[in-house]
Amino acid sequence: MKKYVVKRVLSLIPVLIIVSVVIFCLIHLTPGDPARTMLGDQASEIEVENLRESMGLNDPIVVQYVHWVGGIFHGDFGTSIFMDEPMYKIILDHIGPTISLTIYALLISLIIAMPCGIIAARKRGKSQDQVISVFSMVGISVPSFLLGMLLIILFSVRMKILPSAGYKAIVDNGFLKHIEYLTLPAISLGLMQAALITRMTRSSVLEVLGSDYIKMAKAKGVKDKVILIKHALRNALLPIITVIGQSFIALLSGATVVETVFNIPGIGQLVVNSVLRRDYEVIQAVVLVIALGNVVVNLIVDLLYGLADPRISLE
Amino acid sequence: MAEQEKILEVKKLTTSFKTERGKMNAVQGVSFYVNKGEILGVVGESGCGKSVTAQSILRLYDEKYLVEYQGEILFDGVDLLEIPEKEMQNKRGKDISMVFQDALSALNPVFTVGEQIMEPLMNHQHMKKEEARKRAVEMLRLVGIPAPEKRVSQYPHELSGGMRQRVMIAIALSCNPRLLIADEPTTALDVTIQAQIIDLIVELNFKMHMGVILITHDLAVVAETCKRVIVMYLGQTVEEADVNDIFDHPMHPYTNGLIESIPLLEDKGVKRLHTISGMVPLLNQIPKGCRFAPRCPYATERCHREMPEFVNADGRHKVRCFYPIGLE
Repeated sequence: MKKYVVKRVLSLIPVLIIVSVVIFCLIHLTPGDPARTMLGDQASEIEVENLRESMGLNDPIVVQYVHWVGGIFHGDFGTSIFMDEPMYKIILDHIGPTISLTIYALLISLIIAMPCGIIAARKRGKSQDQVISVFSMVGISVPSFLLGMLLIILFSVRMKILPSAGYKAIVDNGFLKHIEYLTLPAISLGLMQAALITRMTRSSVLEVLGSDYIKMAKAKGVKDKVILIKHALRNALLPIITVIGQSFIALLSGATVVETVFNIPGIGQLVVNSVLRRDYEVIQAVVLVIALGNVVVNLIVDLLYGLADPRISLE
Repeated sequence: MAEQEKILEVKKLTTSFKTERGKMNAVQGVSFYVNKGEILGVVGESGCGKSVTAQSILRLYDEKYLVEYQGEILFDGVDLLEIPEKEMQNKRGKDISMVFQDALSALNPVFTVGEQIMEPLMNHQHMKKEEARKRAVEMLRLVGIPAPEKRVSQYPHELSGGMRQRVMIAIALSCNPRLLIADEPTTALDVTIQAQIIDLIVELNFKMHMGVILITHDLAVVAETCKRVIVMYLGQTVEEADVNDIFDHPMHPYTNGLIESIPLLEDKGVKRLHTISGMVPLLNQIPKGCRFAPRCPYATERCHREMPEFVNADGRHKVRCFYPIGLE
């Protein structure tokens, strides 16, 4: 197990190198001059040129890349053009809301999806199954920003029970306020994943329920409920874990849109604003962090596999 | 004689499945019985309803959506089709247990062998964990698994095919059932292991004095182990007799065909293997008269028109045929 984790962590290195190259190229290939954006339209050509020189933007692209990566190894993720703070602090400040939102959204989708998926599988072809199928189809099809706005109209404007936008940190305002402000965004973000996980759970449970060992369990005199919870669910969990991992990543990146709709100062909003400001160093750093998160989630999923299924050995 | 007491009596069992194309009778009007301590063989081709019969006895099919039973299944005089599901759960694994064909798919991959043997013990005999574990080790030893203390905490995928089948038998026998249904227990195994498993079932049948229904399509296995045998074709019993009678004087043309298609060692020279012509029809294309008529070499016009009854032909020998072989 330890060996496996070490191996997996080491294998992150090439992945991160490739990701960093791609991010770097992507950003430097996009049109727009950060120096010009910083100085504004009034600045003279010479001033812009001087700034470009001092920012190192005139160096060959390879040199710039080496500079950036070299900096990362010294704990320096670059400096923001607009924000007068060290990069790690900028990211730390913004990642809190996003992680809160993502976990909350994932919880909501699991709470909806697992029971729905299991019910749909057990009542296959019956009305419950069909209702759940229709809802999950709708859930997959409705984009989160549209759902977000509909939720705002219903719960904030009409019923006035939940705030329409904004963010309250746990530390300053307590858990309840925190949750209150995140509920609508989390629902609009989580519903689509709920639909996906429902469908996956349904097909996975269905497959397991048709297997011989379920019949065997029944032949041993095990009660239906125990069969479902003990014998079926644990086996059905494997493909579901994969989807949950993917959902987590999708939520993390999907948060961008929802954060903009609900005005939450998370990573997503940071990225959007940085793109608008051509603040390329922030974009680079944030995308790298998200990529790292992606890889870590995948590692966790693989480790969970080993726990859920004894046939998978992590040696 | 106490031995002749019937432990199970199936009367006119019909199992029909609700499908998109309507109701299909996978088993129709099957009657047979098993005496205490007796091994009854059930033979037939794939798809003749052997397994459905077996699983109907335990009521393993989803009765809400999938299946409908008719007839009677008397176990110790109680009709299993009449009792509520809860009571049935109590009988499964305790009074009647079952060994499935493919042990790899019938054992739950995420639980250890021990946990799977312990489950019915803790359910039915209310054993504590420690006690159940001890008993599980004992059971593994009983079915001939070496180093049972080690095996008990292994997972099914860590065992060989033969051992997995032994584990299944251990699970089935853990609560000392009075009836064991073995549904093709040796089909997935190679020949030497097959013999071992069959020997084990015979030995345990003798030791524990339980009734056994041995479902197989291997006539050789039947000849070696069973006293009495029923032959099924397309969801019906077509012949029932003592083993010797069946092999010496098969009355139904189908049984005759089955026996003739066994290649014999003393056959000299190159000879074509005997086959029963035609194929088993699908359940929705069942012929009107005798179900075997389209494939029967002796079929007459009457056979195509009328369904023969399952009747006593000669002592304990029952057959479903208008013109039983050797009786004209």
